Amino acid sequence: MIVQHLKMARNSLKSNRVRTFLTLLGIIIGVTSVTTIIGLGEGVKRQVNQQINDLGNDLITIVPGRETTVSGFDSLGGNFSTTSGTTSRLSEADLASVATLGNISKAGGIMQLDGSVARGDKKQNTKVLAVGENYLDLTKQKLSSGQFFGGDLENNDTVVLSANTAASLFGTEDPIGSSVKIRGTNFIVIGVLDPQKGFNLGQPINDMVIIPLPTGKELNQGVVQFQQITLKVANVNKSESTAKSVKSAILKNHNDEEDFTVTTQEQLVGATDNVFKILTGFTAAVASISLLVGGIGVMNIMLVTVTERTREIGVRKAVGATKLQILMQFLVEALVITLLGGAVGIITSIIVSYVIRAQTAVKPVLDPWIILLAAGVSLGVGIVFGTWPAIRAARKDPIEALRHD
Amino acid sequence: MNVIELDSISRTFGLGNGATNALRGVSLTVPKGEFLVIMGPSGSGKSSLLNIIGLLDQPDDGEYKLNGRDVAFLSQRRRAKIRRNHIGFIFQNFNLIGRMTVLENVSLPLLYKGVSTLKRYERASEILQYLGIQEREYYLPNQLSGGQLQRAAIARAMVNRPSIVLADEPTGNLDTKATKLIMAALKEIHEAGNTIIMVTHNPDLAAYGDRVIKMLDGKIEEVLTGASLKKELTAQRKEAAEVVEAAKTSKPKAQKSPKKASRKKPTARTPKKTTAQKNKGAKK
Repeated sequence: MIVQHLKMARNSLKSNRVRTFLTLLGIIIGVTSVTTIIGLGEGVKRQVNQQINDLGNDLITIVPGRETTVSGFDSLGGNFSTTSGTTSRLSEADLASVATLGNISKAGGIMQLDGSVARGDKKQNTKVLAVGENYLDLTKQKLSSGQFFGGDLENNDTVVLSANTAASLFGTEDPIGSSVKIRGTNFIVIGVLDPQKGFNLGQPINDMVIIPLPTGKELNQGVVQFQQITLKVANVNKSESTAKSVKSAILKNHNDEEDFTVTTQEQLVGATDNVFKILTGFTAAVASISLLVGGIGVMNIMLVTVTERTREIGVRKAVGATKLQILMQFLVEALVITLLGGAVGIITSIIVSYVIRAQTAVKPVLDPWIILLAAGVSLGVGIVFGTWPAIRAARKDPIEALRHD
Repeated sequence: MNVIELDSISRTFGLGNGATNALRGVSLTVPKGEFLVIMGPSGSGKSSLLNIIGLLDQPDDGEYKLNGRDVAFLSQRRRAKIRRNHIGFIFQNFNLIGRMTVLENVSLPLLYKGVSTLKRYERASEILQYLGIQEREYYLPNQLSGGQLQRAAIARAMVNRPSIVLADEPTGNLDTKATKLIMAALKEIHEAGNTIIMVTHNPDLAAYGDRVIKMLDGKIEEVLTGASLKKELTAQRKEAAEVVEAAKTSKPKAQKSPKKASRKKPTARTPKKTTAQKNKGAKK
């Protein structure tokens, strides 16, 4: 019987092609937008998590400022937190006291200075990071040429350039051994970083120069103010308890004033997950309005169809169609529209995602679950918006229906 | 054996003072193989009766046995199933579905019975051949003439080999030639042993019936069979001829003064009608 209903639906939809196409279009647009946006959100989330995980899951970071929860986002299921911008009170003493704690294998601080780097007439505003010798190790970055501070090298007044900065100052020349001016002081370039791929969290790490911490301290009037202290734990399973002891150690140094935030890598991943859940959920909700409109379009057309075909319904009932058979006929017709629209919408969103992937740095992901969700939503829209017109059709009195013009 | 047994069926539409008694205690039995003609003026309850016999409607009171089975107060679902197995409908305005080919239309009752597509089309094609329009089976209804449409509709009514065929003014929308063809088809079906109940206004068609029932105000007023039927028919033909004659003679007058024609026409006709009615009353 269902095959017969499908044949009838095809017959009916074919007999009014323009109307069918326009109704389909509403569903196609709705399904495409919802699917594409969820795919985009999922893709971005994964890329960000990938970058965080690239740093390793064994890191604990300490940043200045207290973590505050932004209220109002709780209801969306997210615990959305941020740190207020304050002057850093993270000092060399703090680094020293946490570095010696148990389960900490490596510790390093990053001090960030503003400044410019110049080579002859070429001048570029950039971030100046003053870091310890284990910086590369902690951030999992690599050099494309030259070497890093440390070892037997005379460290003062040497600099490592990021790939971008090297390219804009030196072009294709080899910068190693050349001299650049930072904050009026001459530095010798000893290394160039590998270019970073994809997104950058927070700061544009593609545009920076790296100098040794002692030199940075000199440039900052002899004071060290870390923007971030990064710790590597020996045992990842204990990172939560280690984070606690790190916190109490620094609290002790700061006279119990909590003007810093300790975050484990897991917490960071969780936080970004939440942010993207909220963002994706919100945009998907906006996009699903178009799906709702498409569904209303289906209902509208089905109601028109039922009225137009009143006499047909009368005939069908007279020759022996039951209520259920009439109901199914019109419900199947609505479902054919929404499922067909859903299928075309999924294909369209796959194409759109492919284009976004090819043209931008964003990599949308259309997981099977997203496609299943889209198919399910199409089915749901068909049932929600197709049932009422179908019930109206089934309820028609055959005598009245046969008299209908 | 009686296909239909109706016992004091009544049906009322509306409520309170606005209520109209469409049927008041109609009792009727139809033996198998009969060609029954139901006549009567508009509002006499012909269609209400046909709807109840066809199980499209339910009586308020009374008993209805179809093939010996009590069917008056069954659920909608049950009635739909009986319709698809035992009843064939022929309508005045054919009621073929425009999007579907003749073959699909004719096989529709079998679809709801759950017969396979191949068998449905085979059976439909067979019956179309019997009615002489098999060559049109892949046409859409709007490509057919009125007579062909009604023959397709008869085929649809016959396709499920029903116990009764109900025809409601089957020739009401057809010209004389097509009417003759359709009536010939119905006669053939009848002679093949089928039970037919036909509602009509046209006295000429009453001659096809084994029995004619005249209805008035929701009751069976008169039953005519055999000799009395023939007598009645000749009288009616005579009457009809008189009416036509009268119309012809009044026409030249009307043509002379076209402005007055609209006023004169009805006045010229009314007296004739009343005499006709008087004649009827006299016979009773």
